[in-house]
Parts: sequence; C-alpha cells; structure tokens
Amino acid sequence: MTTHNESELGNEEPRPSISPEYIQLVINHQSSLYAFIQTLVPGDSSIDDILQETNITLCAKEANFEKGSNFRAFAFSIARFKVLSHLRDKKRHQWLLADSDLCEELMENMMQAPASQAPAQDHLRRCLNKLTDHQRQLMEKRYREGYTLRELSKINKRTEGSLQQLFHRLRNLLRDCIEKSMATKSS
Amino acid sequence: MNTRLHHLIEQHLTGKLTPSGEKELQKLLSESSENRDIFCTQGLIDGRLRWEMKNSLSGLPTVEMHQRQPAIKKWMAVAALLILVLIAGSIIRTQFGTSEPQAGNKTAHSIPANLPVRTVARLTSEKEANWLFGGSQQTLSSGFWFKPGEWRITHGAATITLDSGAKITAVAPACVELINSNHARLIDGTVSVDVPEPAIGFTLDTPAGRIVDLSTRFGVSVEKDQHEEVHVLEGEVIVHYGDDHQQSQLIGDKSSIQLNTSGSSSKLSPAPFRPESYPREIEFAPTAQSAGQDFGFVHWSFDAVDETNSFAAQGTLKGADSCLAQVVTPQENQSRNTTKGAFGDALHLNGDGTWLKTNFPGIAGAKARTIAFWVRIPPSARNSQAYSIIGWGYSDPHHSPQKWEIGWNTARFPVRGTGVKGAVRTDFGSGHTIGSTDLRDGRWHHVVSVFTGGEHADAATHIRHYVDGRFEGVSAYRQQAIDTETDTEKSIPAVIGKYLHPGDQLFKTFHGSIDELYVFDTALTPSQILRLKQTNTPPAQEELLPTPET
Repeated sequence: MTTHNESELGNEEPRPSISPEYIQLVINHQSSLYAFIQTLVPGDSSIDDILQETNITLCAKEANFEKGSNFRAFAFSIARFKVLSHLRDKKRHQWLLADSDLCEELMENMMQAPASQAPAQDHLRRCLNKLTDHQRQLMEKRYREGYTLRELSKINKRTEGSLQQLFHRLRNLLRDCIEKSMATKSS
Repeated sequence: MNTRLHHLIEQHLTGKLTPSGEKELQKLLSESSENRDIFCTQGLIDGRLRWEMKNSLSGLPTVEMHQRQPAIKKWMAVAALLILVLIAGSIIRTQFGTSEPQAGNKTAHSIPANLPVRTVARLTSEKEANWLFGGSQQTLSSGFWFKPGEWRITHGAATITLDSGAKITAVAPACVELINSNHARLIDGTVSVDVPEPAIGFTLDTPAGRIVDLSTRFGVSVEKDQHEEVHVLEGEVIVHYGDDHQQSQLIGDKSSIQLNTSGSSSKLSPAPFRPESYPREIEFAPTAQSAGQDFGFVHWSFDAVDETNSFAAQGTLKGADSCLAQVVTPQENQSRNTTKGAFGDALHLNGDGTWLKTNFPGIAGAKARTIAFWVRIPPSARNSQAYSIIGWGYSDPHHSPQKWEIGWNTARFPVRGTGVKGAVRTDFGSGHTIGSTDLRDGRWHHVVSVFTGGEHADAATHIRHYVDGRFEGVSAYRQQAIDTETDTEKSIPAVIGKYLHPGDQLFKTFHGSIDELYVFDTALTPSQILRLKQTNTPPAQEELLPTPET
C-alpha cells in the first residue's frame, strides 16, 4: 500500500524528545533570529515563514548542537541556509548573500554584536521608554503602523533625507542604550 | 557622517534598494569594517524594533513572558514555541491546504486542539448511496461536508466534490480516503474523476501508484488482487509508479494502463481501453428533505443607476427586488459611480467617502452563505480604503462585533504581518480567514467567499475563498465562533463600500470597482462558482444544495 510522503503532506512533526533546555534556547533567540533574517532579506513578506522554517529545523537538529557551544552561531547559520533556500525557491537574486565573502564577514559581525544577543530585546524595550514622546511616536508610526518615510515626511513637514538621518541616529541611540544596559546588568 | 551609506542602508532595510544601489552598498561594505559595523547595527536594531512592535501589539504571549518563567515544563515549553511559531508565521497554508486543520494532521505548529476540523469536500449528488460508519450503514444527503479520512460507500453511487473542484464519482463498493482539498487516495473499488481547469494537479494515490491530473477525466479501478487500471477518458494524466514512485509515464487521451504491485514496487503495462467501465457524474436530484428548503440570492448587477441614485437588486430571496443599493455621497463629491465592468457596467468607488446603503439585512446566525463578486482594486489603493466590499450585522464600538464583512487584507490586524497583503479577507468579529492572492493589480478578479455554516461553525475553519474560479490558499486565520446578528436594534443592513463599524476613523471607504455582487443563503459548489464566473449565471433554485451539519 502506498504511504504518503509526510513532508509533502505537511505533516512533519518536531521530535517529541526535544529537551526543555534546548527549546528554551530556541525561544530565547526568536527576536535575534528575526532581526538577523530581516537584515538579510528586508522587505520580504516571507520573513515570518523563514523564521518558522528555521524553528522547525532547529527543533529537528538538537542532536547536532553541542551543549555549551555558541547557540547563536548555530541558529544563525541555519537561518542563513533557510534564507538562501527561500530565495532559490522564489528564484530571487539577493546581492548580499551572493557575495559569500562579504556575507561571512557580516554574519561574523552580527554574531559578535551585543544587539544580537538574546537578552537585547528586553533591554530595547526599556530603552524605548527613555526616548522622548516625539521620538517614540515616530518609532510607533514607522514600525508599528507601517508609515513610509515619505508619508512621515509629509506629516512632520521634514525632508525624507532628514528623517533618514534621524532614524539612523535613533537606532544608534538605542544600540548604545542596549549595550550600556546590558553591561550594567552583567556587572 | 557618511550620508550616502546611511541612505543606502535605509533603502536596503525597507526593501527598496535598486540594482545600482546594491552594487554601491556592496562596494562600501566590502571596503570598510566600519561600514559593516554600521550596517549590522542598523539592521539588527531595525529588526528588533519590527519584532517589538509586531508582538507588543498582539496581546499574545511574547518571548520575554516565557523567559521569565523560571522552571518551564516540557509541554509548556513546546506550547510556548508553538505559540511563537503561530505568532511569527500566521500559518501559511498551501493552496490546497496540506497543513490545513484536518483530521490526522500531525503538524505541531498547526492549530489549537479545540478548533473544529475543516472539511475538504462535499457530497454533491448521490443515488441510493449507503455509507459505512462505525460498523453501521448510513445514508448521507447531498450537501454533506466530508472531513478528511476514509469514506466507504457500500451501496449505490455518489459524486464527491473536493473544495478544489475535482469530482470523484464512486460506485459501491469503494473506499476513498480524502486527504486534503485536492488530494485523495483510492483504497479499493472503481471511481471516475473529473478535474476542471482550476483544479489541475489533483492527485489520486492508489496502492501501486500516484496519478497526477493535467485537467481531464479519468477512471481508476483498484482490485483486491493488487491489480489496478487507469483509463484516461479525456485529456492526460501522469502516472507515477515503481520504487517510491520514482518512475513516471504520461498517459494520453483515450488510452489506458495497468499497474501491478510487486513487493514494495509496482510495474506498468498496457491494458485494453474500456471507458464504459467507469461511472459518469451522478446528477443532483433534490430529495424531499432538500426540496423543502428554500434557498436563493440577491444580486446587484450595477448596470444602471436610477434617478434616486440607486442601483436595482434582483434575485430569488424573499424581498430581493426591494433591496436597492443607494449611493451615499459626501456633498463635495459628485463624481460618476459607474465604470465598464466584467459584465455590463460596474460600480466604481474612489475611496473618498462614497458608499452604498441597502435594506438587505444580510444572512443571519450561522447559516451558510456565499458572497460572489467581481472586483478591481488599483495598486494605489491605501490600507484605509480596504473595507469593505460588503458587510452587515451588529457592530457596536463598545462591544465585540457580530458582523460579517469582506474586504482586502491590510496585513495589519490583529498584528502586523498577518496574512498576505491585498488578499481577500472575510471577517467575523475578531475571527477571520485570509486568502493568498494579492488582488491589488488593477485587474478584474472574480472573488467568492463561501461560509459552510452549521452549529459549530468557526471563522478559522468554515470559510473558503475562490479567486478567478480557483480554490484559494489560506495565508492566515483566526478563531471565532460565528453568529451574525442581523436583528438587533444596532444591526446594520448590508452596506457596500464602507467599513461597518460606526464612527470608525481608521478605515475610510472602499477604493475600486465592484461588479455582479451576489449574496446566496447557501454554500455554492466549486462548479457553480466557476459557471458564475464564466457566464454570470447563478445556479437555478433547484440546483442549490442544502448545507446539512457535518
């Protein structure tokens, strides 16, 4: 009797034997993975799908992860593979991933960055509260409500270029705040 | 300050980098580690901001909530991960729903346990058919919704129509396993299969092989002695066979083959063509039970506007003819509201405050319904102009809405990234089902929203969409039991082109053209939907199937 190919039917199931510690690692790194994937394929409507695929593979590959080693590096390399596979399926070119040397250097850089560490999201939330009302409103409009720079420039009567610089500075401000906050906590 | 680098990074982060910009940014990043630092910082913080805003809006558990739990138990951890996957993924289902919420689906990231099972097919006609359930013989009336699983017919004959539109006609004795909306398995017996163009790719597995349809009609028999035959009555199919079905052969029009199982493999050889051995589709004959049910429709063709600035309605539902759709226009806007449509003229709304009111109360409760229309949405349509094509029901800003509403998905609600932007979206209260085709391309599309109805009906499982006659994949769904309130003081009769929520500031009015809008008080079949698209002809009263409880 023919049996159905499980993956074809979408019936793949995570291994039931995943350890709670490993699952915790996967959970803790969700926002880091999302930020990493978003940096590689910004504006792609499938970012959530790629993250989902990454999670499924991470769950299936627990045995390949050496306890105590760098989980972030392990997870990022799987996410990178998933991004590549997604681009191949969609027959899309991506300049950043096509240049393998540059891609390696950027991956290394992102893995070293404090902003890619798992606790950074908590610190980001605290840092957002330190912004002025106007700065926070701008962030909300752009990142929650999806306003484009062009729309924001009309609302705020500023040029797009000046808003670009403002967001650049705000992200740097948040990066500094996150790093400081993380350093304070660890000391 | 490297303004140019900042500009290019900004373009990259919004997905708007041009090919020449890509080259320039690539060069800047390759030549300086400082530039790479800037790029990575900006990218990571940008991504974290998106994640934060996306999840803090949802009200659902976030990563950090789980992190705070000191001793997370295994099952809780799994649940937490799955919740995360649900938040992140909005669950994209493939076109024919291979990971749909269906019986036996083991997909861990699929559905809450209490979600009703989604049906995949419908009994569209039968002739003295008996079915075997739990050891006893039962009859099923036409219109019955099939869940995934094995269905054994023990007497008579029946035609089962899958949601994709593929029809399987089985003559007793036969056993068919319904796998999903475009995939079945013949366990034993004889069937014929009719596959319309929108369901091309329909797959029928047999013990010895797999038949993939290329828009055709074919017959298959599986005998208990492991002998199988495939007869192509019209068109072509591909038969996969051998070890793990790795071999395949195209079988042409009016030809046939036999498959014989040999161990774990199968062999293919010629067979005499015997088309007469396969049944034709059973014609639907109303039963006493179904004949007693009165179904109908209301239809706005938008072909002519009268002196009161109203569009006429017609149809077979009681009072349909009096359901005029009257144009409501702000004083400052007196622009023309008609345009050339898919059939005759169409309604055109430019999102500037113009909409149509009717006195059609809508379909109430959890009664099945089908809403069909042509729509043309310009690529420039804004999120605030997404609602609605049609809506009705109870909508009080201070209470949970009990309204039925169809528009296009802005991918903002309940969280950013929900479903495919621009796809058809049917909402009920806080529940919804969202399609997968972006309609905002300035072309006419035939769109149908079918609600299968019933006592345990849910917005997540009982709504299907068809776009241009094709069964639409689901890009996101959300649970909500359905009970449309059309008879309260605050219930609003059907409105066309306006968000139903009174006083809402978020949505304005619909921007686009609408033509041949039908509302039926039952669920149409895929072939009726296809015919409506092709000829603008609604099914006759006696062709409308009842929708018995599943």
